[in-house]
Amino acid sequence: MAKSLNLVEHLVEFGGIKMVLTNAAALYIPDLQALVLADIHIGKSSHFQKHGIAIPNTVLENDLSKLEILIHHFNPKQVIVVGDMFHAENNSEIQQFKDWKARFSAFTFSLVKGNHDRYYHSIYKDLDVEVIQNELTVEGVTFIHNLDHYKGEGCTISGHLHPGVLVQAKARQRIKLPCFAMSHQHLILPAFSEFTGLNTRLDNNTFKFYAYTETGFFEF
Amino acid sequence: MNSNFKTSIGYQLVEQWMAKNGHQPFDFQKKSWQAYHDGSSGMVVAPTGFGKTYSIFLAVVIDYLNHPESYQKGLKLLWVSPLRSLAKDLAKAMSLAINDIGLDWQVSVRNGDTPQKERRAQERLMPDILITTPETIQLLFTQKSNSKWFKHLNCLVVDEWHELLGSKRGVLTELAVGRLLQLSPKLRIWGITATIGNIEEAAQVLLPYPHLKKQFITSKLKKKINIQPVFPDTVELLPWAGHLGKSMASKIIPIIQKHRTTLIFTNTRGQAELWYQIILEAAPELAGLLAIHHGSIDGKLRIWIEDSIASGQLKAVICTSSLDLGVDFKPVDCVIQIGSAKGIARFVQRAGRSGHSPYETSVIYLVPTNTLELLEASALKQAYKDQHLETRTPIVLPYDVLVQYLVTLATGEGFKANEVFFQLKQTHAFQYLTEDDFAWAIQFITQGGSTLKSYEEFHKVIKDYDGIYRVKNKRISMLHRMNVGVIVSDAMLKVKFKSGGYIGMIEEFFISKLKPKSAFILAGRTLELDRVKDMTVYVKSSKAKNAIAPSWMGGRLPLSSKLSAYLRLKLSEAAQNQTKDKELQFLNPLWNFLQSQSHIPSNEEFLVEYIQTKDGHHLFMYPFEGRLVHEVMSALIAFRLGKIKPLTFTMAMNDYGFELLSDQPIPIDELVLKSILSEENLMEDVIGSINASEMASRAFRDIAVISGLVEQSAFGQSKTNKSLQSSSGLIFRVLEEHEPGNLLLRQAYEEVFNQQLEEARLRGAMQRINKGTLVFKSLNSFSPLSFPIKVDSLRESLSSEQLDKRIKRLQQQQQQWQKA
Repeated sequence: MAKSLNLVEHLVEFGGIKMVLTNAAALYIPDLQALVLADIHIGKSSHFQKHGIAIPNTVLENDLSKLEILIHHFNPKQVIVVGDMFHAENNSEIQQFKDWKARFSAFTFSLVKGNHDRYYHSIYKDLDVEVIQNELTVEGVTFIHNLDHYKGEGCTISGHLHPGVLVQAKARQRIKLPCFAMSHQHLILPAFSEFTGLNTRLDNNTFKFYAYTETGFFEF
Repeated sequence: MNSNFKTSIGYQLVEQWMAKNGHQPFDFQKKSWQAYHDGSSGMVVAPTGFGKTYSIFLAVVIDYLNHPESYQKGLKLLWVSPLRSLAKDLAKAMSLAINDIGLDWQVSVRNGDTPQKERRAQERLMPDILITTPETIQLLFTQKSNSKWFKHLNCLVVDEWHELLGSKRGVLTELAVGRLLQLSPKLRIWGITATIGNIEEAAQVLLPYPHLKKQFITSKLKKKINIQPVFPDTVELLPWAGHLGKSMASKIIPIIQKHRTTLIFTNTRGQAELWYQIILEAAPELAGLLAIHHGSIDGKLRIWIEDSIASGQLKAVICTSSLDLGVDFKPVDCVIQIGSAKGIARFVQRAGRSGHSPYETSVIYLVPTNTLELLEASALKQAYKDQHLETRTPIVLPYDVLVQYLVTLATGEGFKANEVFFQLKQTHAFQYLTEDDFAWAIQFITQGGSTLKSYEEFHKVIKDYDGIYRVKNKRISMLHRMNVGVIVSDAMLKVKFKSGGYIGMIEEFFISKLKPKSAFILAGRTLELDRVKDMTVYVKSSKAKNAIAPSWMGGRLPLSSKLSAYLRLKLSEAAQNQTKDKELQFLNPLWNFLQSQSHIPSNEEFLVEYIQTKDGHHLFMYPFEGRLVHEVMSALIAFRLGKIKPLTFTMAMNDYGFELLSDQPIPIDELVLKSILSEENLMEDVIGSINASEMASRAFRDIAVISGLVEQSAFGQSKTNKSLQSSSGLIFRVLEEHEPGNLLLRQAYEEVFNQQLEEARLRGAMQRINKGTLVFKSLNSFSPLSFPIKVDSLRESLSSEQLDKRIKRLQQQQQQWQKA
């Protein structure tokens, strides 16, 4: 069920660098020609299915077609995943990802490891994914999975938290939207996969939220 | 009665045993013995306290004594009851009777509390009588070769059927009936129920099998209820919900003193906590003699309280629906209902908790929390006189229960698709199940869904070489057994003292709003929040004066449709000013005030009030249809008004009516009213006015757990596998996107329409309003009907201190207006 996507961009400056937030849960850094995303959780649907919980397996297909649209749009030199690229054990979705990835060669694929990424090195090698153990610093910005584990004092781009905002309207209507959470020093990406929950408990005094829908961005 | 039967050895022995204990069988008991003797199945309808148990239980004993040859070793009588707490006492009573009569039968209990060792013993050799719950029967079905236990079952009794009907537990019971009947074709099935509005339908749902011989036995005995309204000292012209609280305490205490043991019912756990404080403050001498009992209090403490009631050590217990049913407490001779009982059947049930022996009169005092609630006292009296009780609507086509049941069978002995389909079609719940829907369910459990792509890694249920569907993976069997059942509990946290000692449970939702060091009350204690860690809330004792009573979700039941009809009737009587009811007469000053200022709506009238204050423009409507319907109706009216003029509204409601508040004038006259109350495009506009997807997503929570998509997080127990955690909301979203044809999604929307939006009731209300006369009044200030709604809405947005000041100001304005 490939979805058409109306890509909306939102420009921000972070750590003195221009960044393009998109409503496809990824951000693009023109200076580095880098597409950055977090928490794809490849293999999650299969993992659930293996345990008898029926989650549609078109989730990954959708996620990958979304990524493809982003790649065609920005034509990046590198794709950086700040953790939780994979969900659990090796399963058929990894193969699906491998087949998908084999079609591209114009960019490098790097993974800053997250708490879910527990494979042996050989698998990453097989997938042609460059693995960075803890953090990666480029142009003064550190890419790391979990902000809590950052001991330095510079700017970071991280994932892990799946940030979202809760919009409450009259008559007990509530809508949750995914968002980018940004402070002076830290930028937290939304989870890339559709099959991920939203965490709406981030402190709104520290962070500014850039929430998005299919048609636009909203700042909170 | 058949004279042969009366002289039979079984009948003689049992009658002698009863006589020895000073009892004489009631007519309905004798009739059920005879019916069972004749090989019938059926339904026994009798009020609580008249020995319903002895109808069918003794029928089986008599039949065994007369025809021991038709009974085999092992399970003879399977007794299903919705209440675990009753099981032990029931088993004791049965054992006693059996021993006295001289049988060597064994009676056992099996439910969630039964120790492992005893279960294993039962599985080796089933007792003659097993007392259990609908969930435990399903669990028995998940065992390998379980059919041998039921092969020679003679009788299945479903006790308190009225409690199960209308819930998914009832559907589990229907399914069990179907399967047991298949395993033991000579089985006789009996339902035992209290009176409800749709008793014939209740029998049809339990026993839809045309080949069964059926008898319907109704006891003519009627419980006498003495309904005593408690009048406040004065009639407040502007009733304020909850306000009468403290001043009524002085009236409650003499009632408690006058009786041996009193049960005090409140509608929510929060109210129970508050009243515990209020009563102790007014009568400190009751300390140690007063207890509090509700669903969030430690189970052990609850059992201790129940034992103390039974032994007469407590003077009074403040409780919620937690004590609606259950063991009979002999010492209880008085019941107090605080606030509205919300329904006639619930009221009768609560009243019946006092004066439990046959022919004893139940005494119930009704304590209004605002003066207007006295109207309900009068309505309840009339309804009870007319014996008009609420109906319980049976659940149809719950696909979540279907999926669970299929996996249950596959985990146990496995099933053949065509056999199960045939069995399902015979039940009431699944009589309209289509072959397509059934095929979907099979696909869901074997392949994970109906998408064309195969789910190669999905192996929940497998179609074996012999065409039998089985669960082969041990882990999946284990997970399924842990999640069998349809009661989905809210996320609850344990509350413990920092120094050790367990107090009770509290909803995660409530605690998440509290900051450390803030005070709240639970189990009658004032506690200070220290920290939350590992699903446990650590607290210290606190002396704080301003503690918050937790508001547990789902505590606010709407007024039943039957009771609302009686309310409108009584209001009509008040309007005609010729009532003999003392409650209505007492309220005369209020009626006069309402009539002079606005209007008393009669049964055929629909009252709409419009008031402009400095807060804005208020539109009040009074359908008297209960909170839920008002919630939907207010959204609908706001939506339709919004089409005429773009306005934003704040909405508020209670069981009697609702308010729309706007900062701008609302363009309203009788013509506009007619159009916004129209029945045309009703559901389309309702869907336009609410966020149906959001509501369905919430309804999906239970469905996801029951169908095994989300693991039930058992209280205090962390989920077994972190990587399998997901929320039902997330799965709902993914399914809507990827598998819109999923029947579980359809069920979620249907539950929203039938249960939350109460579509049928809403339609009925709109019809009634449109047939009647519209009365539109422009007022200068709040009326006795609008004031409680206003106060309730203020309560939600203001702190309590601000609220008091605000209400005083409103009342002063009111008095000034009256003088002028």
